[in-house]
Amino acid sequence: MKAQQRGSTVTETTTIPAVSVRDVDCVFGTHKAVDGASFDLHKGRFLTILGPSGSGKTTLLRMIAGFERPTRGAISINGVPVGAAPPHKRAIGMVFQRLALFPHMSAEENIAFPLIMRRFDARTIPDRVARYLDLVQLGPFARRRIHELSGGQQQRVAIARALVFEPDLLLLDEPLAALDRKLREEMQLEFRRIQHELGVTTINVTHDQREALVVSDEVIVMDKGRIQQMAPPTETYRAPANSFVAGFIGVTNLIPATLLTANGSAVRVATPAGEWPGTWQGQTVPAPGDGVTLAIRAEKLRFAPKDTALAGVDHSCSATVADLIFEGERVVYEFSLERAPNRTIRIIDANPAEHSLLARGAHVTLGFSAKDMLVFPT
Amino acid sequence: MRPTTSRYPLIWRVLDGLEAAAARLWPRRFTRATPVLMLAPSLLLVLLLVIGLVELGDSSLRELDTSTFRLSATWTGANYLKIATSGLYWTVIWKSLFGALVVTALSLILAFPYAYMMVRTRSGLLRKLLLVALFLPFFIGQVVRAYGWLIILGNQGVVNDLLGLVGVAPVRLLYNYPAVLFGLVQYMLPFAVLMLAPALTAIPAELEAAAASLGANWVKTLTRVVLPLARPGLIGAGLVVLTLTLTDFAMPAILGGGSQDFIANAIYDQFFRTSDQGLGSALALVLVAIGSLLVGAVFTLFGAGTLAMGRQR
Repeated sequence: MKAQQRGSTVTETTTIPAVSVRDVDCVFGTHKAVDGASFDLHKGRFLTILGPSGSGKTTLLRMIAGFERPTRGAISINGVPVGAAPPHKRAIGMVFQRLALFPHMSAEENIAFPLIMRRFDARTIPDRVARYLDLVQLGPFARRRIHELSGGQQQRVAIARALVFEPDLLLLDEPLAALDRKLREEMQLEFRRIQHELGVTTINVTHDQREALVVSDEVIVMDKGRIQQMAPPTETYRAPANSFVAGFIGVTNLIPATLLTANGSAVRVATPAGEWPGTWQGQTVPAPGDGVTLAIRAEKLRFAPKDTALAGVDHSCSATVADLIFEGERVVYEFSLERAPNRTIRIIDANPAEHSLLARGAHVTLGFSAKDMLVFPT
Repeated sequence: MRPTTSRYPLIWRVLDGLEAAAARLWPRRFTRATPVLMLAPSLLLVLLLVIGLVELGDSSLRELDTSTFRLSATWTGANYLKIATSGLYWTVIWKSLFGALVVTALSLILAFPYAYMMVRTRSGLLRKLLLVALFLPFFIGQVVRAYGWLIILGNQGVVNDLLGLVGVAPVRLLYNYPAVLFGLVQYMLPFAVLMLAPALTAIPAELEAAAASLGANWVKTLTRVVLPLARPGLIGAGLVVLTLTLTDFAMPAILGGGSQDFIANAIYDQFFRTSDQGLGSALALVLVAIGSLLVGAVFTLFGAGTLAMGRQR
């Protein structure tokens, strides 16, 4: 407690990150769940840790919350190393995967719980609980038992309970995973609204790439215990650091290939469907003969009926429609390349009215620009 | 073409045959009576008990004629009067009741951490060990276990031998009230743990993590979250231990050595030593009444719903 007060009296708080993770490992037996994670998060930012299951994202979050201890490395909150401090000695609000609301208490009793535990002045508690009930628009439901509330209302109680004691940090452990899509998207916007309103530093863990892009100021992509990239959502999407990030976010076609020539970042690669131009994304200068991975976003490819010219493309090839998935606002086509029939390429047509829907088996010409064809070291 | 049935496993065909036979015996239109049919065995059992109770009630109202050793032909309240006015029976009743309450409290206090550890431990090996240690006493009857305590706690027992090594004179550890309660707690512990474990399993571990992140230390987490949610299990376990202890016979008989009788021992004496069937029946009915009142009191205090029956929580 003393240490926290010291931390908050430092004048230049803006330069001290709200959360600082340095070279953190977490080993369970022989399994390295988190491997050399380092990042800084500044006050008031909304960070999402995105990754497939087993990528170590939840372990990283649980270490920040104090439920797991790093095998190596250090975690600081507001510049103060938290080391072995147990969860109840940290000022961290957490919304759990299955919410973990107390079933034997009403909504307002749940929200008052952290205030009582953290010895807030008893006279201020009812006002504060009422204020946070209003914040999550649950005023009329204060007296309801948890099982008398809908899924969305329970989410709101969990958020209010995690925020009511004004924690330094809010942690969200995939609380939206169990909701249906419509409610999930509604709650994503709700999280963002509340986070903007209170300005609380937030770390969210999810495997839903859409959620990461929608809610966050920054996105960390994790795989196999390692941080692959930390960047704002637009950058994560437009300039993925490696082929894993490129493949994990968005609908991306990944094609193995071999490098032929490199001229600065302009490269030419040999693919199963012939020689294609691309743009080199690696840090080091590539050598001809290196194995590489091509990544191209499904919406960056263009197509036209066969023998129709595609203007402004660097390369084109022939293909046939293998399948088409009508999703309402967009159509996802799967094309099989003429020169490599086993390799399908997905293309999103976000404006289906422009084209008449193509039938399966129709012959088309595909085209793309070299700048959209990202080439990563394998 | 009709598919050949011979490919299906034999057990399927046997079950199909049984199903067909059942359908013939109990046609579909009888379906609404099925619940009644299923209740029939237990109803029969209760009916037999009721007959026994009526019989007991009848004999309890007949006084033993000590000259003829026959029960009186007319009804009289003499047996109940004897129980009410005799200091001996009040002592026996008080000892049973107080003992049952103490044993229940101690068993719950000891069983809770055991059950909690068994449910929450991450180590599969520890869980198995705890389970085996829990079930082992069930394979050893109550009488054998009580006899074991005689060997350990007797005047020439292991404990007194060890005390003798450090120069302490033999202490009388047996044939007193604490020895009986000790034996009963040891006997009841597995029942309490078995009743508590499912109740604790039903409490998600995430709730305890949540309490910690909200600022509760382990004591607060226990008193504010775990114990309130474990209440149905605690009440269920408490009721089982309470009624089993109240009616126990072997522990007071063996570890009390005849000096620490519970009601059941008094009843036994009347039936098989004094052959006063009337007084024995009256004592038995008093025991039934005390037990029913206690269970009734728990239900009124906490509601039958707390046993996870009735309305969904």
